[in-house]
Amino acid sequence: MKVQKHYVNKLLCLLILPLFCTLLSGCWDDRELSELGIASGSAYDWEDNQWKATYQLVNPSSGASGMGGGGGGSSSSPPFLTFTVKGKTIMEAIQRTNLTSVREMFTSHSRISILGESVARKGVNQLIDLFLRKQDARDTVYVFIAKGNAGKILDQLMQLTKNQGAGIQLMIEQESKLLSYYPSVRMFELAMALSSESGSAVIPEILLTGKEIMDETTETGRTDLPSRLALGRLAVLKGEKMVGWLSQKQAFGLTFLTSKIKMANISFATHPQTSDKIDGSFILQNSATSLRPIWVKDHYIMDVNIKGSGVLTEIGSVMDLNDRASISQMEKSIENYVLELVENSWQAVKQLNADVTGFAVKIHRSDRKRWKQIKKDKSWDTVFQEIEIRPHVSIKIERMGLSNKSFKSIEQN
Amino acid sequence: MLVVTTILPTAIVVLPEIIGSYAEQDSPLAISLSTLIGFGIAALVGTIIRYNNGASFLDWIGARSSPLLATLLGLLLLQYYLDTSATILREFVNFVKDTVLLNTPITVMTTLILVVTIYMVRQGIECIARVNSLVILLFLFFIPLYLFGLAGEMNVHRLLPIFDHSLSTITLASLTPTSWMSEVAILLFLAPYLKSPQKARLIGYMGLIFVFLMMMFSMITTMMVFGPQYLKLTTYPGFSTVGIIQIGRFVENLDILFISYWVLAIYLKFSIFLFATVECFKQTFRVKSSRPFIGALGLVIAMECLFTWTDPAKLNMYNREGRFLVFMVFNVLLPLAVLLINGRRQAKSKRKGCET
Repeated sequence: MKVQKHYVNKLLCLLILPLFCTLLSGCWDDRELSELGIASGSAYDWEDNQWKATYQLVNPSSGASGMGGGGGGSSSSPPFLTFTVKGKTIMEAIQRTNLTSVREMFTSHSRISILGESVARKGVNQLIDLFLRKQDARDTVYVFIAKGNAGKILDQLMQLTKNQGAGIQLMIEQESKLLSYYPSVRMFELAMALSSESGSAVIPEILLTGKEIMDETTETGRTDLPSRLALGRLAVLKGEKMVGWLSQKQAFGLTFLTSKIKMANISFATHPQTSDKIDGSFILQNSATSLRPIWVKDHYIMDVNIKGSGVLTEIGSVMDLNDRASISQMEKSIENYVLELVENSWQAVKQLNADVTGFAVKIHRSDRKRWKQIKKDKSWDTVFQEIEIRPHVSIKIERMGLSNKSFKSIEQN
Repeated sequence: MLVVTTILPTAIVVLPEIIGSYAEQDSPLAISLSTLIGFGIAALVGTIIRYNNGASFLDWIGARSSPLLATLLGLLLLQYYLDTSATILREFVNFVKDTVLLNTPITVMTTLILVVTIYMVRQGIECIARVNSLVILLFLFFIPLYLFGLAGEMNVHRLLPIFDHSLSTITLASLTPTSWMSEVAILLFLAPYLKSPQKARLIGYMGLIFVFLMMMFSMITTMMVFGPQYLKLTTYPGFSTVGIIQIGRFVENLDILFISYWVLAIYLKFSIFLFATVECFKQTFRVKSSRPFIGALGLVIAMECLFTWTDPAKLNMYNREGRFLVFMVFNVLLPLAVLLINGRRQAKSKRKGCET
C-alpha cells in the first residue's frame, strides 16, 4: 500500500511539474518576440537644445534581395526601418519611439552607435552614462562619429548585407584587422579611455561618399552605388568633448604609437636614394611598440621603440631580392616612412593637446612618484606639451613572396 | 566547500567595486590582507570546535557556563543571522532586479526565492552540501569559457603600478572583504554535522584559500580587461566583464549564462544562512524539531528584506562601513570571548584539581 502511495505521489509530481513551467515565463518581464523592435544601430544628434535619437530597427517582413542573405517576405520592404525622435533627455527620446512604432524598442542586439559632431562637441558623458546604466543597452556597441547629421547615416542601405548595423561592425572590424589606420572603439573602451589618466579618446568617423542617400531597396540593384558608407578620419576627444580631427595618415601614425597595429599595408619607395617614387608594397604582419618615459632635467623624453616584420607584396622597380643590400635598402625606406608617420601624428596630437597616445598612463605606471606630483599640481597639460619623442623603428622584411626578382628586372634582361 | 559558497557568491558581486574604489590596482593586496585575517578567524573558530568536539555551540556554552548566558548569546546570534540572511536576500533580489527582471515586483521575487530556499533547508544540510559540490564543479566549465572569451581583451599592464597606495588605504580597502571572510564563523553552527569536527580548522583554511583564489581570479581578470579606473564605474564589474565576451560571431552576450550560474550559487548561500539561522533558533530555544519554524523564520527574513533594506544606498553604506563592525563583533569577538571564558574555566578547574 505504501509503495503504491509512493508511486502515486511521484506521478502527481510529474503531472504538476509542467504546470510550474507556466511560472517560468519571466514573471512581469515577459516579452514576446513578435512585439519587439530589435534595434541594430542608433545615432544621436544635438539639435535645438534637444537630443535627437535615430534608431534602426530590423524589419522582420523584409525579403529584400540583392543585399546578401536569404529569406522570404516582401522584396519591396526595406531590411530595416528608422525612427527619429527628440527629447530633452536621451531616455525621453527613446520612450517617444513608442508614439510612432508598433513594436517596443529592444536595444540588446544593437551593433553600432553613431554620434553626430554636435553631440561630440557638446560632450559625450551623458550618453556613456546611459550605455553603462541602462540594463538592455550594450556597452559593446561600436562607436562612430559623423560630421553633420548622424541619423542620416542609418538610412543608407548597404550592398552584400541586409543588416546595416552588423555591416558597419564588419567594416570596422575588418579595417582594424587588415588596415590598422585606427582601432575600432567600443562604448566601454571609450569610457575606459576617458576615465583613464590620459582623459582623452579617439572615435573613427563614418561618412557617406556621395551626396545622395540610398534608402530605397530598388537603388541597391546597381553594381556601383553613387553613395556608399565609408570610414574617414579620426575624431579626438579630450575630457568629454571633441577637440579636433586626425587625418587617416595621422591616425595611422597614432596606431603605431599606441601599439595597436594588427596588420597594415605600407607603400614605400624601393630606391629612396635615387627616386621618391612610391613603387613598393609591404604587408606588416607583426608590430609592437614599447614606450619608455625618461625624465630629463625638466621634461619627459619618450623613447619609442617600434619593431615589426612582414612580407613584400609588390615591387615596381628593378630589384634582385637575392641581394641582401637591396632588402636592407627597402627596410630602411619602410622604417623612414613609419618614422615620418609617427612624427607627423605626434605633431598633430600635440597641437590638439589631447593625450590620445596614453603617455599619462605610461608615466603613471613607470614613474608613480612624479605622476603623483603632476596629478597634485594638475599640470599634465603642460607636461604633455613639453614631451619630446625619440622614435626608433626596426622593420624586417621576413619573406619576399613567390618571386625572387622583380618583374621589371626580368623584362630588362 | 560549504564555506566557499557561504562567502563567495555575494563577495564576487559586491566586493570588487568597494575594494577597487579604495585600492584600485592594489586591490589584490587588499584581498590578500583580508584572507590573512580570515585565517586567524578560521583558527579561532576551529579551536572552539575542537574544544567542543562538534557539539552544538550554544548547548556547549550552556553546559560550560550557564544556560542563561547561552540563551542570551543565542538571542544575539539569532538577531545577527536574521539580519545577515535578510541582507543576502536583498542583495540577491537587487541584483536580479538590476540585471534581469526589471518589472517584476520585489515581493514576488522575495517570495519565490524564499519558497525555494525553505524547501532546500527542509531537505537538510547533507542535501545542500551535495548540491553545493555539483555547483562548484560547474566552475570547470565556466572558468575556461571565461578565460577563452576574454583572452584577447586582457592586458597585464593594466595591473600596474603595484604598491601605488599607502598601507592605510590598503588596510581600509581590506576591511569590507575581511567582514566577508569572517563568515567562515558559520562553521560554529555547521560543526555538529561535520564528519570530523577536529578538522574544522583545516576545513576553514581550505574554504578561505578557495575563496581567496576565486576572488583574486575575478579581481585580476576584471582589472586586466577594464583597468582600475573603469572598475570603479560599474556596480557589477564581474558581470560587465562577462558581457564583452565574444567568441566568433555567434557566442556573445554571455552575461545571462553567468548570471544563471551565479543564481545557483546564491540560492545555496542563502540556504546555508537560513539553515544556520534555524540551527541558532533551535539551540537558543532548545526546540527538538526545527522544521515547523523554518517558514516562520523565513517570513521574518523576508519582512526585514522588504522593509528594512528598501534603499539600495543604505545597503551599500552598510556593506561599506557598518558590516565590518557587526561581523567582527559576532564572528570574532564573541567566539573569542567564549574561548577565553572556556580557557579560564579550564585553568580554574585544573588549579582546583591540583589543590585537592
